[in-house]
Amino acid sequence: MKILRRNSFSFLSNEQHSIASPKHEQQEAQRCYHCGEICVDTQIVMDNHVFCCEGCRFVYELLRDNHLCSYYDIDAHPGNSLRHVSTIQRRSRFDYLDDPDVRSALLQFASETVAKVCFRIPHIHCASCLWLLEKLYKFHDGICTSTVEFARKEVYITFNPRKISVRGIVELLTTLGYEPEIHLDVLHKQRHKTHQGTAQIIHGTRQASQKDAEATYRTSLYMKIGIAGFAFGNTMILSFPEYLSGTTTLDPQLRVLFGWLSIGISIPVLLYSASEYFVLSWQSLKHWHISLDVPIALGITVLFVRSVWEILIGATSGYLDSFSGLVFLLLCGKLFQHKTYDTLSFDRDYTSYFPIAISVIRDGMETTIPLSKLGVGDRILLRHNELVPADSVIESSEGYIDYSFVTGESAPVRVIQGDTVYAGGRVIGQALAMKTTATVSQSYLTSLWNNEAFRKHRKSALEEVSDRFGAYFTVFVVSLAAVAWVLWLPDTAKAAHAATAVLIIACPCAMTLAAPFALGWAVKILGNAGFYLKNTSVVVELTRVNTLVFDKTGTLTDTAKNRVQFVGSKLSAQEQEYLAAALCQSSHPLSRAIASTMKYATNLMLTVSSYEEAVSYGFTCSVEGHSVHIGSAEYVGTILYGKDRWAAVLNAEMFCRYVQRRNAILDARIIDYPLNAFTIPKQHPKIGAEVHVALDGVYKGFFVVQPQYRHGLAELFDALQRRFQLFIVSGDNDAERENLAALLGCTVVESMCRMVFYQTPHDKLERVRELQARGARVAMIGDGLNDAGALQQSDVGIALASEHAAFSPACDAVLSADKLYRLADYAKFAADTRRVIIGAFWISILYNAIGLTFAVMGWLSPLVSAILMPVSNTTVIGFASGATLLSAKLRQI
Amino acid sequence: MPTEIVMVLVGCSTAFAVTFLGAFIWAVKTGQFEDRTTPAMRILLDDKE
Repeated sequence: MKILRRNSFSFLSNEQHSIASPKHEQQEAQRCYHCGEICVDTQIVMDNHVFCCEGCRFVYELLRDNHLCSYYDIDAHPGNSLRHVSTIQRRSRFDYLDDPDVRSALLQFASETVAKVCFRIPHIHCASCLWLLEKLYKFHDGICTSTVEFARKEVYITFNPRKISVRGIVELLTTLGYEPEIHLDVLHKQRHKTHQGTAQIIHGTRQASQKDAEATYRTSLYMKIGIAGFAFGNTMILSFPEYLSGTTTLDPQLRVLFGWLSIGISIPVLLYSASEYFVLSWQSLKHWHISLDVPIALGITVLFVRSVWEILIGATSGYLDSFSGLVFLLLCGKLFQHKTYDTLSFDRDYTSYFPIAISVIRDGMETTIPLSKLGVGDRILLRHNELVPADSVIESSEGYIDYSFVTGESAPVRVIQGDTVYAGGRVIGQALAMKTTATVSQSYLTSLWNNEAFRKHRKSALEEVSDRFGAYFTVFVVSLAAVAWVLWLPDTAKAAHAATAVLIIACPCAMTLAAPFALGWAVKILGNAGFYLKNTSVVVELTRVNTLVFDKTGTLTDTAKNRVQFVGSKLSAQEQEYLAAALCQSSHPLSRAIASTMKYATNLMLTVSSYEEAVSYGFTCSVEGHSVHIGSAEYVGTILYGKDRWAAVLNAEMFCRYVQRRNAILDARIIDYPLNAFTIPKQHPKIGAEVHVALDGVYKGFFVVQPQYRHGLAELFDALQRRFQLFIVSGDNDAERENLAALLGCTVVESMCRMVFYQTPHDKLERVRELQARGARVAMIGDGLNDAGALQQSDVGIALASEHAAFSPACDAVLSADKLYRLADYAKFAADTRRVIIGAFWISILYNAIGLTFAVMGWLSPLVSAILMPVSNTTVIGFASGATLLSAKLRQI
Repeated sequence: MPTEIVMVLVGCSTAFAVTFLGAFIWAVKTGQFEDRTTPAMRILLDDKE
């Protein structure tokens, strides 16, 4: 608690300097030597390096003492900022790692003296991370080796379990700023292992095994490509003499030899490399459905059979080089597609959202157990902001639950003793004791996710297009082959020749190669630029959008950067703590904004009672017996001074404060303000929302919360307006209407139909639906949780995240908040990608036209095919990749 | 005569090619394609002990 008091409210006591000259300070801002964040105060210095917080300095000291300072030489500011991490998180946080079940689930291998464990560490991002994490043995002699797999952000650690425990390793990593991500699924895997046969297949397990399957598939894909490539090169060389000299001069013995060798080399390509095309097309045919794999499988088969036939009868050297080349290039396209998916870590499910351990009250004692061990009838204790893991009955007298994660409705629900609360709710304010009535995996929330309620049901745009294309293409090719047959009919040999040639030469490469490459590059490029798409078809979907709907709070404004200032008498540390504890009780955005600037506020364990809220006016509660009133001037004033007098008293109070702090606090607009007029408070230009505060019946002053718009919004809107219709929906009041109208570049009157305020999450969803009903294709840009409903309803839901780890089940894409201003460029780039695919499509039509002419006329020879097919495929791939990359370069993404 | 030489050469080259294919299969099977970013970074890190 002592540490807490010293650090937690430093912002309030330092406020006077920092607010007095914010601009001046930014110029001189120094970056933390460890993490590179701008240091708010430059008090923390060690060895001439400045640090932003004690945590960063501590890591530096630790590294210095272990002679590991090269960490800072490899990459500048490699560390993870520890400033926003509450250092006094409960010590018992890692208790569950001492549980033998958890431990054995995490360990990949264990013996008496050697054990192996693998952690995913999201912070791994640079060479310094790699270097430091492979030097873990320097910190503890129990760690033998550590190996990093950079692309997957994983570290494999071999250690001696007698000297260091799993918990010790996790704590070491956490101290260094590399906290591993430990998910429920590992625990589920364990449960699955022990109860095999009880059909305890839980989402997590399925996912884990999916991951393994993915890895094996990728390995086999490499193998298939290698074999196809090998066959491609060798059959080509074997066919070369014939291409060069014609059939006459080549020694017949060699011809036979070369022919047989080619067949021998190509058989593994048919049976192994190309096998999945046959499997997939068979599966789709079984369902009376023609997918894109069908024409490919058909083409490959005809190509192979006819080649073998021609070699056997000695007519030509066959088309086996075209055959293996085709398979090789198709598989390369597949590999590329898979690599794109790999880099997207969109595989988060609800389990990543749940806590992994939970506080259970057993025999009157509070103990921590892993969530998977939570049974029916356990008594659990949940604190502010913790998620309800399973349906439960409340045992505390009363409390508040926020269901915004499940229903999108953000207003907290009051619950009293005996009420049932559902999994996925979040406890707000007072800690709640409850008894579980369902197990974690059976609960409502799980079924919600397992029912895919949070997934969009419609088929992705890309699948739709490619399926339709596959069907049309197959019909077209088969009928063309029939026409060719009929044309040559009296001569059956010629007819067969032409018909098979058609089947061979027609290649749906625009769809199978151009789209994966162009979209793959687009997704990759956008990902690097901070715009993470769920899958490639979101790119296509994005180009169809014509209406953008923005949420205001947290999307256009940056809640973390709200300028919160306190105007009033200086608060003691004690008083600040009371206020923080009280503010945590309220879910009003303003309370949250103020509370978030009070570091560690959520960890305060002060007793808060008799909480009473007058919705959207203010609230009153009692912290450790001290009454606290927080709210609008009217709310607090009426309580303190009565209905008639509050305005006069408060106005005088506020006026005094403004004069007192005039230079210290107010920005240019306020300083110009005529101070000799006495009607001030009534008309003083509001610089932001005001939250008034009274403690123990004494007025203390007010917080001013100024929303800060994200950078570059005016330019962004200007650029977007040319292509999209823009709308703004906001859950807040319309105080910002003028500012927003200015950003949109329209008058306040015009803004009426483009902005709506006072919207609940459900209203937002309805607005989106209305727009869609009018035929608009809507992209919703929101902050994830409160807008879940609207994100879900929209055609493309883009969740804005200030950190990549943010999770929203409903969104199609996550946009890093500091890249919002580039959204217009990203949209244009998506449109370019679509144009590239269409361009590649025309190229392939051109090639197909040439090839099919040859085929129908009966001119197709192995030589023509050997030139035409690889050339057409590679130009399509080259064009798709090159043009997409070029467009990214031109748009400076 | 030239036919026989070519036959021998074809045999040799095929044997070579198959050897390299074998090497590739071995590389895939021993997991050398699993992580292709980290080793490239690791080799650039100096160890000043």
